[in-house]
Amino acid sequence: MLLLDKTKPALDPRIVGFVVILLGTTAMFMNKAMTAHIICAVAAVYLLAAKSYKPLAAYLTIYIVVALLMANVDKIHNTSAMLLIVSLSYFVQKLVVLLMMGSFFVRMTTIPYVLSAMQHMKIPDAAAVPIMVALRFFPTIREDYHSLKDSLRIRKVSLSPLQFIIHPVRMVEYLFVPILMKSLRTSDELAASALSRGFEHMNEQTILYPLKLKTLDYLVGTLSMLIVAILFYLQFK
Amino acid sequence: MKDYAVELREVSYQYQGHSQPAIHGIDLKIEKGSFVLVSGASGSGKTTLSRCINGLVPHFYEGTFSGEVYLNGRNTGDYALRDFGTIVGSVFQDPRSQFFMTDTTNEIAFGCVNMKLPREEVWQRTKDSLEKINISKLTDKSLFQLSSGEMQKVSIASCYAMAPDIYVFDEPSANLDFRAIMELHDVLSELKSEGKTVIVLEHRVFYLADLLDRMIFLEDGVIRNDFNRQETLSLSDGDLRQLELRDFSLDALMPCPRPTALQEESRLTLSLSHVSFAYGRRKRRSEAEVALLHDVSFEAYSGEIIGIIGDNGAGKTTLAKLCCGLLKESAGIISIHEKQLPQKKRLGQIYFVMQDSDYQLFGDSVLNELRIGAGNKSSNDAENQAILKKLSLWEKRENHPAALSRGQKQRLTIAGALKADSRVLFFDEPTSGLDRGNMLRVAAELKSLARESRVVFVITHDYEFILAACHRVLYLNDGKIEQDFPLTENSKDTVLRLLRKGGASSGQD
Repeated sequence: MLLLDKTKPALDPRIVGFVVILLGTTAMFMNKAMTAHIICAVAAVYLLAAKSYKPLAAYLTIYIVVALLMANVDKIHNTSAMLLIVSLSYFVQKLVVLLMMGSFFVRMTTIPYVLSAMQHMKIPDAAAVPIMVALRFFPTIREDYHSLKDSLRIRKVSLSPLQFIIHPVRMVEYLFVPILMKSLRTSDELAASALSRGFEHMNEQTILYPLKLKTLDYLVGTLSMLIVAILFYLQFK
Repeated sequence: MKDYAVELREVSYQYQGHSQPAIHGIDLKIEKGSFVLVSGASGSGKTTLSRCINGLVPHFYEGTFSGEVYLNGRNTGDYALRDFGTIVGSVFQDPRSQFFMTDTTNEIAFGCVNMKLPREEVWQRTKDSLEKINISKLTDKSLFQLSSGEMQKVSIASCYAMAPDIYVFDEPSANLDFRAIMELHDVLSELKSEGKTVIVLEHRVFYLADLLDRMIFLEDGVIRNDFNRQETLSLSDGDLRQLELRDFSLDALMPCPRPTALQEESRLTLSLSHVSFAYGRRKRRSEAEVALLHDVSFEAYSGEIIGIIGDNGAGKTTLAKLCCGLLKESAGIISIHEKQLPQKKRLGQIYFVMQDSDYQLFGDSVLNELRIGAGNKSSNDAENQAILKKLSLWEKRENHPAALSRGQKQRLTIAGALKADSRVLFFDEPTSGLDRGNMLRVAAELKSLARESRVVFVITHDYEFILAACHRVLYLNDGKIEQDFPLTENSKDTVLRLLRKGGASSGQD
């Protein structure tokens, strides 16, 4: 996610969020080969417009490979292999669209503007505060994990994927309990720090990054709804 | 009637679930514009006192409060917590757990945003604070890439933007290196010159000597002494020891008397010969922060305690991790007792005690902590008992590690090293945020570890601790050992000079 760029994004984050949720949900209902292909193509076009080429190439390749397998599935005579491919394709078709839209969101928004969008939409604190805290915590968890891994290695505890399969409970205890304990302590200090700087309600804050819907926003929103309407028609006609 | 910046009348506070009040019957008047040092051993009630001033007591922490707190002559009895922020700026101990946003600019604006100031004013104040605290170069940076010292300044700037008259600092130097402490000094000095009232809770006091107007000494939740500037600075070494205070002047300090010549039975334990560390062909993201090492050679003999000093990014942690087998050398030989050890073999033989013990304790009880790890062939209870008794942890054997004090956690980590029978131990900043008594206790522990024919390395910025514990100092700069000398009365000034200057080339910029 573009963390620091405060230049105004091309699209309003509210519209980006709307489009992502709309297409992501629609993908869940697209069971015919054609509709599934169309929604993947639409997601690909969005990603292309967002100039997010690398994820686009990766996801599209996965989709095409699975689609090719699926198209030739009747040539396979092993039933279990067939079953595997069919269920895989069913799963991948939806997942790829979700991942593409995820990349689209990350590419098109920045944290300050996402927070601003939440302020504009008057999202209640109960939802907004956890999102803010999560954004702040995620990067530290990676760091925590590496420190824990190091100290377990000194103790000669292996952290290979195999260990997670053999001793899942123990691994949870070794990794997640310390991260949880640490996060608990940090969140307590964090709360003290935020409250002593007058934090109470997100909706009563100054909006630092004002947002206003523009022509392009309306256009993208309407277009997306139109596409979805057509897709549903094709799917259920 | 004269208005005081802070006035406490008969203030007592007891945290919920505690049997003793944290502070008791405190009467205190602090004049506007004065610079007050609050001292006292850990657990003496300093932090609670500061929380009474910034409103976290009684508004955030649960407990029983009595008495009255006046800020700028106003009774705060009917204030809500959010009203305190514009009067008192609070900077806490660990800068890493204080920020709420993900980038510096929004973090500094955070307080003003909560005040619901107009947008233009928020930006103006943010810009002004960045300039005043002298961190304009940090504008729009990700907070996750800052050093502790830089984060600290960002949190000060965030308070500054709200324009309070009173500042409360809770052990601000605890997580900072020497150079960052000197920079903190400059910020404090700026606040003082602007006529702000500054209250600092601290153990390490050398950087406050030229700023303080007054020192309050707390013991067991009551104010035992109230010294003015003159009295504070003329306290003798014995007085300071009694007050659990670190020293006001570092220049006059002497290393503790100790045999400088190695004992006869001491033997070559760890040797590094032309060791380098560079990234492999695939540089992993997790390694991005790891500094490089170039052609490092030294020998360490049993019984030695060796201080490793140097700027952030000089390679201190890399050296420790490399020796411990957490990283693989790209060239050179590391041997113990003149036997070359490859990376995997070093794990456990050379032990790393991290700064944050929370990362190193995994058991559900103190005793079970020693039973973790494949290296411990069956758990030998007699051995475990001996180790825990030695570190005075046997009484706590049924407790959960998370319920231990910081010193106890550190000792439990050391217990792991004893269990693994490590010959070499690396400690990372073992004394950050410790008062004098606890700092000397750590020094004594390291000495007893070294005495049993081990080598102890300490990565540290704490000059007083180096003088109390180390025999020898390695100075790393830019991934090379630039200096390696025994610590004596003559060389101690060199150590101080090296700590003060940091590295000429700061690696992380």
